[in-house]
Amino acid sequence: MFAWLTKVRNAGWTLVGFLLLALPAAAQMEVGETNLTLNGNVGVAYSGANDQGNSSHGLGLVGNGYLAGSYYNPNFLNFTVQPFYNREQSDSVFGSLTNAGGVNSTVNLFNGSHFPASISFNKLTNSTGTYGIPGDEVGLAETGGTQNLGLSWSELLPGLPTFTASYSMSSGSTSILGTPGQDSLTDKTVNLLSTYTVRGFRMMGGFTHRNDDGSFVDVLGSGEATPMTSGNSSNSYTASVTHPLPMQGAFGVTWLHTAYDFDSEEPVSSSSSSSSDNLSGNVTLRPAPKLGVGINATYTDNLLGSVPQSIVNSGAVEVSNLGGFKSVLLAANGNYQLLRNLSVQGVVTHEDQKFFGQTYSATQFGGGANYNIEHPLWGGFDFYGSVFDVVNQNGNAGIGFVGGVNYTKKFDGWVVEANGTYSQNVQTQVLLYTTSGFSYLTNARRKLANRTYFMAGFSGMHSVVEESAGTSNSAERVSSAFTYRTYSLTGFYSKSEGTAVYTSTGLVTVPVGVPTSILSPSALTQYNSKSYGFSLGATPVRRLIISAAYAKSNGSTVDSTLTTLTNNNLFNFMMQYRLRKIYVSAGYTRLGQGLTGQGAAGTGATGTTGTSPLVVTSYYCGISRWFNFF
Amino acid sequence: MVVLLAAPAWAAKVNTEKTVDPAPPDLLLEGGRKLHYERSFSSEREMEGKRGFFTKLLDIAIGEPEHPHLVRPYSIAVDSRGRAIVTDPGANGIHIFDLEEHKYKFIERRDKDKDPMRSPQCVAVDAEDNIYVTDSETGKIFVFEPSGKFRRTIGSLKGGEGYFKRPTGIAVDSAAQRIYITDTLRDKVYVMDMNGSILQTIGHRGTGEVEFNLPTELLVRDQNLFVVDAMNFRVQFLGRSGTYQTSVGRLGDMSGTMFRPKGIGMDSEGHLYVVDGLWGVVQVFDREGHLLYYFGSRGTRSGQFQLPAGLFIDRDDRIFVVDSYNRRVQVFRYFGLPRQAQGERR
Repeated sequence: MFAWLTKVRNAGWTLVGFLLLALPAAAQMEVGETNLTLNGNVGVAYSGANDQGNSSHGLGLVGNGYLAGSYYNPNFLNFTVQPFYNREQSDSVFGSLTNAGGVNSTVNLFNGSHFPASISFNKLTNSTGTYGIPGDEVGLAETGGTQNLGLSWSELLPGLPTFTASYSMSSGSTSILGTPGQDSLTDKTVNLLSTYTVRGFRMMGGFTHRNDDGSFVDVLGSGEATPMTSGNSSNSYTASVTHPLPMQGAFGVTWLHTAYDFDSEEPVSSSSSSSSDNLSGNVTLRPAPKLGVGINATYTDNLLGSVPQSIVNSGAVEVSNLGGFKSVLLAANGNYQLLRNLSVQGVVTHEDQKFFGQTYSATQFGGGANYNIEHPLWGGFDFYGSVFDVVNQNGNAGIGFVGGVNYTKKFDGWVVEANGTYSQNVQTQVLLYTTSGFSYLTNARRKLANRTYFMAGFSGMHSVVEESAGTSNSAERVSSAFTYRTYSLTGFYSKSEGTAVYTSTGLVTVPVGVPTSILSPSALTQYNSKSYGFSLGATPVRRLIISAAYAKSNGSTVDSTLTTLTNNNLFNFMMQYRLRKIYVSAGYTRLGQGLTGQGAAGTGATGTTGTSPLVVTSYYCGISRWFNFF
Repeated sequence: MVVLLAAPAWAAKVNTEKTVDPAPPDLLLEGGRKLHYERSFSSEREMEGKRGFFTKLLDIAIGEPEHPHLVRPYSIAVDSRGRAIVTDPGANGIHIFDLEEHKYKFIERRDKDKDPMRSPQCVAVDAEDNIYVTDSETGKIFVFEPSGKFRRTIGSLKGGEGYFKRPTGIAVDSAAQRIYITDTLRDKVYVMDMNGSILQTIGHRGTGEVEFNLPTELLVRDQNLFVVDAMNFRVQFLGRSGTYQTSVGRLGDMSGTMFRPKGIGMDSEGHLYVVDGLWGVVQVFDREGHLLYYFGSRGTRSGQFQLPAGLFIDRDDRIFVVDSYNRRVQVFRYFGLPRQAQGERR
């Protein structure tokens, strides 16, 4: 009957205990040859949540700490440990949906010596994160945990080759709120690196082994309830040498060999393996103060070997097997500073690519100019543009263009900035494809009165692979902010659509210059998304912070078997007041999140499970004190 | 959990004694004169008296209050009540340390809609202890009552802009009812009446007599006006009307030369004290420009300076030096010859 009273009393005694501990707090503590510093927040909080009708609430301890120290000498050994428990909601976009805990720690050994080493360990439990969707500024809330361990050791003897070895291992699992199953990813990486400089030659050699094992539930894609599992491992060897040349010149040669294996076990077992070698060299010279020239050459025996790493860091993206994909690229360029504010450039490139048993070639002749002007009336302009003509094995393939303009103007209290770029028929990584696009960004801001400011911005982009229908990406965003004294109001609206790649951390837009045709169709989806939101922030009195934000987004992803509609809305309120070293915090979060699957016509797909809209509310009220224990 | 946390505290040697930085020895000078280091101060905490039992208890419960601290102090003046008034561009305000009454006050006008004070630079007080502060950013002079209450601005144009391009040094001559201002970017010294009306301008850009290259600090003493001619690396001695008398200093890195002259002051024996910001020393010259002695060096210990700036000498020959980068004010005391001996020497 009086259980709550007991909890309050226990929490009170605990706080009293910490208060007593703080009494001698004054300086660093010394234990033998160990110096220690410990400080942090300790407090109690009452929190509760309502997860689709399931209500829970209670009183508990909250806190975070910072322990730092050294043994014998900070250079000999120093360390930091930062644990946190039931972390306050201001640390997460999603507020206090989950009470995260964890620890971040590092140990450094022999700093400043010829043999420094370090160890780091981080662990995060019960945290709230985001499954990203391009253009969706809220994303889908997901919960989970991660941990990673890092080790590093170096040999830095003067006059001898340096050597650094590092190893990192990270693992984590997450699940999107309201959906069954969970995604997991384990990554292990070994890095070896050596450098040596002798007689002006700077040499570098390295080896990287990487292993990724992951499984993820494709809730936005195929609708399969069974997790897809995949393994990806790669070994990379690299070596390079550079040396200065007369006339402020330099030359460099780089070699890279990558071998990778990709295995997918569910729902359909498949495996692929390949390797690629890349050799490149370049020479640059400045024969005259205003003239610079350079040539470079690159040979690649499997161009696609480097594509997955350029899309997602995890590398867990399968590419189509086009067989051997050899490429030879030769290029020469020159630039000349014609006037103080005008420079011109010229470039000639020739590339041969061989795949599907055929050879494709293209020669590109281009020229361009950079020009900038500052005029008190017009403001500042910065133009650049280049035109190039492409000749391939079939004859003249047409003219391409790359250009842009930057503009800055101050007038009548306003500051206006604008930036625009345009590109037409720019070569992608595969000679068969070219890409075109444009982007723009403008913003205007003004000081309306003392401590009163206004800002508005508009930005957008559009890109398309010319020879491949349905590969366009576009995005637009409007935003505005108004600040009056310690009050601020912001708002935004954005929309985007295009082609994206599934990864375990969310959808990633296909980078410009990578044709979607070289990626596995099962990894791709069409997406569109619209979002809007606003936020309020205020500091009505000193040491009191209040903020509230609302955002709503909806969109869809479409692949060959399923259309998935997503919608979510998030309201978040928080306040914090500080009195000396006492912090009083409170907050409220409401998340609505829904996924609805619609089978494409004739496929018989029934959609994802867990499609009912999810509503989670949580609230938090707590008091904590910062202690400098020792 | 509490016991576990407490265990190492019992076992450990807790170093609760604050490391005491020994005061530098007295500097013994010719004829029995000496320079004595007195103290330094940097925050409200040092102005407080002994804390009572309940105050201590409250401190344990909710922590000690935040004591305002010097951030980037620049200039200093001491009024007739012995209060040290320190401008602090880093904190956008003015600290008033009452060394005798153990009180502290901070003045700021950063957030005011009308006449905000953005970068307080140099400070002076008049005979009634009104406080005059130059604001190098807004181009105005702010006048505060001794209590710290804002009274008015000088040099404010219609529309709120300041008349001066970069006002820095300031001196107030209450007897003559004159205010002297250096406008560093205009290379001029302005002479105004107490209402702010400009009566005279002194100097223009150059390296000759009554010519300046970025003049900064000012000092009015007896019938003389002393101007720190910063980038000519000298201090010019002028008459009240701007007539040239002599100058002290030249560019160099040896004793008697200057590299970044900053604050100036004059003791009861008429010796001129000049702070060199880069070398971290205060050099003392006689009226003929001969170097008498110097004190200080670059460092963080008592008696050492890092980027010292302002200097003020009160009527008791206490020398206040703003040790800007060390975020403190150091106080020395000059013990000169007794008055009688001074008379005999003259």
